Amino acid sequence: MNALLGLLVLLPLITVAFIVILGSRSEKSVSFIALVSNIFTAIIVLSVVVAWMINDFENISLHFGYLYESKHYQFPITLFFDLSSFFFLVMSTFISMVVVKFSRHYLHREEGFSRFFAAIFLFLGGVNLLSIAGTLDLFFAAWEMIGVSSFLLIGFYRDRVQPVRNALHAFAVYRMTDLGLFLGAFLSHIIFKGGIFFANLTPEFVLASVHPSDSHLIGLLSVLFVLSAMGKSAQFPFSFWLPKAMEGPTPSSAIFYGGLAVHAGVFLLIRTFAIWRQSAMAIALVTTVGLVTAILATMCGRTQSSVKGQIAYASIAQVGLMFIGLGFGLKIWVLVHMTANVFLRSYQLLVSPSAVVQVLQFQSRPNMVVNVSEWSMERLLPNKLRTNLYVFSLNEAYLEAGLRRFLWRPLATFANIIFGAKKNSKYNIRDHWRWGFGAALFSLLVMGCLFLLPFSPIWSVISMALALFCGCYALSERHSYWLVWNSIGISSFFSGMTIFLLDSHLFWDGFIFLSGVLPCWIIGSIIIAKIPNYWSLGRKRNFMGLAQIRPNHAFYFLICTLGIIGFPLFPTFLGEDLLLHAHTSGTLLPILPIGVLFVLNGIVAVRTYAMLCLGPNRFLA
Amino acid sequence: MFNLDKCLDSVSLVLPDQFPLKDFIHQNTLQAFQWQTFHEALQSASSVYGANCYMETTFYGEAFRAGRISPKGISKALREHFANEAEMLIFQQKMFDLIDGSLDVKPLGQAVCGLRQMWLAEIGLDIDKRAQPIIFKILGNYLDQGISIWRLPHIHLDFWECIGKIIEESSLPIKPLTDKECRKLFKLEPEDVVLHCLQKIVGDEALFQTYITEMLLTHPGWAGMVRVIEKHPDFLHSRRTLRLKHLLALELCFELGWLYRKKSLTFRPVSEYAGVVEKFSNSKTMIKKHSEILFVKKLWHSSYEWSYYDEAIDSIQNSLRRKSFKPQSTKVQVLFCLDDRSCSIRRHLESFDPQIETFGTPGFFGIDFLYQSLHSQRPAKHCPLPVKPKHMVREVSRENAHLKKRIRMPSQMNGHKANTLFRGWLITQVFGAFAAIRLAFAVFQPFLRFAVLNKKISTHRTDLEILRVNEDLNDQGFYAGYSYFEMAERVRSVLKSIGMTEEFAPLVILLAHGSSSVNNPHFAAYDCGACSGKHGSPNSRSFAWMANQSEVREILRDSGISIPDETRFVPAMHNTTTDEVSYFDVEHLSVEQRAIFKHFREKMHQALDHNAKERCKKFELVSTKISPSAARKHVKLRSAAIFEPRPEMNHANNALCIVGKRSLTKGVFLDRRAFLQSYDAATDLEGDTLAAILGAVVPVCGGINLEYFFSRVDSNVYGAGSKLPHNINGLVGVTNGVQGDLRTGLPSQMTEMHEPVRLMIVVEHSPEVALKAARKSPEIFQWIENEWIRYAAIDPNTEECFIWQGSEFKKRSETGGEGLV
Repeated sequence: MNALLGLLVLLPLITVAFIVILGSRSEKSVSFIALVSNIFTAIIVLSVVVAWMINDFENISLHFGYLYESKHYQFPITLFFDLSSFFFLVMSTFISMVVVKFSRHYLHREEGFSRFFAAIFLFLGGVNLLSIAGTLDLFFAAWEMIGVSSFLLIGFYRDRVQPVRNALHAFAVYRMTDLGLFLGAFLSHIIFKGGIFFANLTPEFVLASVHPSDSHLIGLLSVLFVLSAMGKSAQFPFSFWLPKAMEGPTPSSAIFYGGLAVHAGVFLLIRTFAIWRQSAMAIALVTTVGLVTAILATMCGRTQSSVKGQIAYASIAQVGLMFIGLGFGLKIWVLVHMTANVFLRSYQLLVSPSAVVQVLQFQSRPNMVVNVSEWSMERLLPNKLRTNLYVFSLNEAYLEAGLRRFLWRPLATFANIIFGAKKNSKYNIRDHWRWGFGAALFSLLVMGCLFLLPFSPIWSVISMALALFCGCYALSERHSYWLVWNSIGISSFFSGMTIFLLDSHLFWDGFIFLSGVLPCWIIGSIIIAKIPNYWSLGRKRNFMGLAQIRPNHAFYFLICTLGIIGFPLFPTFLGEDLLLHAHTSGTLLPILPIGVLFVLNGIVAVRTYAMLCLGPNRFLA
Repeated sequence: MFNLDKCLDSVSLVLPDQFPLKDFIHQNTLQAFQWQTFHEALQSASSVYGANCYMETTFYGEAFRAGRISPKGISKALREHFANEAEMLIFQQKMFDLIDGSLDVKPLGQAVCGLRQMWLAEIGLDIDKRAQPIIFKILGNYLDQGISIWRLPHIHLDFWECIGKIIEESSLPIKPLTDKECRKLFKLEPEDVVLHCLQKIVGDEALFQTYITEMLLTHPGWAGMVRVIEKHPDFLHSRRTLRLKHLLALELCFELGWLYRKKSLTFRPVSEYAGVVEKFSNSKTMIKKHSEILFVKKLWHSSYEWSYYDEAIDSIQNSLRRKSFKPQSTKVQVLFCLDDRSCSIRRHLESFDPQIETFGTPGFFGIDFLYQSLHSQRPAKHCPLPVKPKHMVREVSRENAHLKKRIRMPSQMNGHKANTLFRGWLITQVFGAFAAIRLAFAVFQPFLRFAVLNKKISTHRTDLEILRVNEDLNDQGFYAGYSYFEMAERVRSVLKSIGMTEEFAPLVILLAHGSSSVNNPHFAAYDCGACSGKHGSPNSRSFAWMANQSEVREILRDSGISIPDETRFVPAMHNTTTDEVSYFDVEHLSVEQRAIFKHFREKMHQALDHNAKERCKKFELVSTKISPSAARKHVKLRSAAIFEPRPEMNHANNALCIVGKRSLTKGVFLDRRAFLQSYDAATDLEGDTLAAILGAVVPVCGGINLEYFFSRVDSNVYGAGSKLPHNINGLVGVTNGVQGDLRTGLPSQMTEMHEPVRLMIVVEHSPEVALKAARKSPEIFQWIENEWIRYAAIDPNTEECFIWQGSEFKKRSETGGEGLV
């Protein structure tokens, strides 16, 4: 039993490895691997479910030991299977089987066949882990896996700008809202000593384990969870990314946006139900967000003239209803609704190319003299109001513009002000050397000082400032990927150092973190440096399309990017956790900037990857 | 003085001329350039659109290594372009020097390297990125034929008025039209707005047209669609009134708005930036710079074409020499569509029973009408695109209670209802699990679909109202049916053109064709091209009905075609996807005819099995050892599987069109690459019939061929790219994702197998008559003269072949072909 549940997570990842290693050779081997992996997953899920049912539906909780263990922190590997897992797992297995079988034919002869399957299985690994993760830390790992694989699938057609740009949008939203879970995981370690285990997460437990003086923290924690759920489930005000993400092949749209990925947020809320139900504010937030989303998404969806866009909004609106349901505490009802919605929307998306035939047949019914779209509810409204509402929906409720204006623009402006970046200033080669050498020298200097001087919090503050400084620089730099990349590297490096410097006994934790960051940073730099004229690349923010001339380099660069942004399979991820949690004893203060950097560096690093490796090839022109 | 309408007329020529999805019709993608010779046109088009002229050099290199390009072909190509040996040698060397493709370049189109690039370069404003999404949305919603639930307010007005009204009523901003200056414009007429904006943005009148062209070429799909609907508003079920200038006015307003936002009211127009015209119009010079590699590619391409033509003509000439014998008595004559997909099934059918004789003719069987099916609200055109039908035929039910037996579609899950909030919620809750079941069956058991479909499709019989009883035009302005004289005229012209004027067999089958596929937005492109992308069965039914009327036969007898009373015409339809044939109106057959018919059905069944097997060879995932009946089952599966992007290979690889007697091609393996039109030169010494045939064959087959050609050569510019991310927009077209331009042309899944070779029309007649017939219509002759199709004549008497080269027929033996120089 133990092994089986564990396999459920490992199997997709092993499949990814196989596909990456063997895949480029032939379509047949990839589809064979996919098929085998799929069948095994189905068998495992089936046997787990049967065992669970025989055992009178008793929750299964399994402990596999510790990924890392020290006296002040453990990273336990615990899996947990209950009713919600059952729903999510069965649903995802079913959808994945359908989609894999579908895609084996549908993507036949498509360029990037194996890339597609690798991304699909990475996603499935994430989803499986999500449904059976026993701790919040593992849950977060799954969450990140889903985020990155979504990015890869939306930008599947990487030689065109539009999919890549929309993939970046989606990733940026994901990453911003991931801040909720990032800080939430940290906070949960402070509130519940040893972190959150879903197995014993009951309202009573929450009440019992929270110190009365910490009750405001529960409110904060809940809001953080809700924030994350909102982003992943494309709820207000983040709804705009979902319809735009319909850029990949139809089956990937089905599995993600219609199907599993948008419901991950709902699942998070179900998992942490016991916690956020304690906070009236969170309940109000969930209900309101759900209500607003349901209304806005319905309006926007009604004015969509494209099939997939309409389905996307319909799905968002239904998820909004689920949020409302959760607000009222109807957990089982939401689970049922969720499953039904996943099936229906996946089905709709997969048959969406049939729309012409369907509508033609519908219009051709002799008793249907009126065109279907001639009548709609809105006709009842007065003219002016109707037009205004229409314009409002046409602009997709101004969500994207609003978010850009109130969230992203201030950040970018802030960074620009610091560095005085002028938009069209000519690139100066001296900048390059100044930054490259300056940064290297400076970090050496800091390192040197560390060993010469006794540890003191002041170093930590300096390090934090440096990390922020470099992070902002990376955000505002527009002329050279080389500089951006190195700034991100330095920034990540120092954000790790910040905590390391606070507690000198965290040497080992810091080492783990750096062992993830440093190699990726260096290898990434080497890859960039191997491109001719690398220092001046990136003018005008063009997508360069390295992947088309050097697919291997692009792949390695992706790995490096994942390493830097703390993708779960890298030591960076563990190191991040370690550093944060080891610090729980200390002050909360440095965590917020680190969180901001986590978001910022993540977005900028992935943006750099996209700009450099994706898009149409501009190296030859 | 700048004239907007004139300007738009000439600009719109370069826009793709593609109809809404339900009426997909194959046309030459580069129609606008047809006045130039083929190779010149490729280059001009390439600098306009930024497209490839030919395949990559490596493609030809591989073809050479694989033996697909023969030394003979290369020599023919060289001889076509050069007179003396020395030059030939030099260029032959060059061809092989450049074979690695290292010098391949892709030109930039006007849309990405022209005046409008200035805004990005000079003031850092990417207007297209900002303005296009919302423009496309408004336009998409305006044109929408039934996807969006809530329609654009004031949609009954014309586009410009509708937008003006919305802007006027709306207090919410549509970026960047918040500016007062911009809002004022919407009260004016579109022409004035265009001129006003151009004056502000461009300044110099001489640059107006360039600017407009560049602007429209950033989204050729939508612009082309607008133009098509402007010209043919009846292609939309829900009528819309819009003009290209409306779209242009709207776009220019957006552009002006963005410039105001960015640079306030005092920005400088394009013409005031020094040197801008020189700086940003370099696409033409780029072509010049690379003229050498283009020339070499042209040589490679010609070699590629000649290698095929040569082999094909060889095999035809060989077959001619074999002198196939005609069987004593033919029991069944079958009239096929000239479609290249009929090519293989005809061969199989004849091989199973030599007493079956086959003919080929355009699949609309000369019946030019609008067909009002029982299942549709509006009549549809069932004849080639250039033909303007005057008649309309209705389908009527023989039973009265047909309404109850309708196919009940769509189910709750597919309609709009599932996408609304509350009904959607109920449907989700109630049918969600059902969707899972449906999904599982659709993906794992696609065959079940047939069981369900068969049950659903009503089995009642219908009749066509072909005979005209009332001389008045009906309310749509058409004659309701045909008079006997008109019928006889249509029957006669078809029978005469294929040379079937005597020796009628007891049974004449009229085999129309159509296709059936699921989950396929381009479904109309798979149907009969001669019927404007519809099933051909109404045409074959009408023809058979006409030819079976004793009154019609009476009239025909006067004009020398006597159809014996024992002969009966039977309409049928071949489903080219599933390889099934359905027969109509067979209940009137006599006992003898019935026996023959039964025999024929069996033979047809066998032939279809083998046809399916032959088709399966082209599908990579199917074993080559598949048995014929299993192959048939497999192709049937393809038509029902929602996950199959290639239900059939359609016209892929078409390259040849043979106008002549069946004996030219009987038994020759043409690999489903040839359009076969029956024609008897002996009955047409003056070439009048031939001219009529060419009039139908050249635009239909040439259009198909060139559309495949260009979609293959540049799948992203001329073609629609991969169909996997396609998203149906407003039921009029497909886009990638929810934003972006409409994709025109054919998706790469349809064309990836295609060998880009221009169509060669081989006529079985003396070169003099062939030339005379072609010259009769200047439009047709333009195709030949400018080499958009290749033209050849095989003299039936001397068996010699002549090929049109330069501006004359050359004897084939004189066109070279000894091998490499």
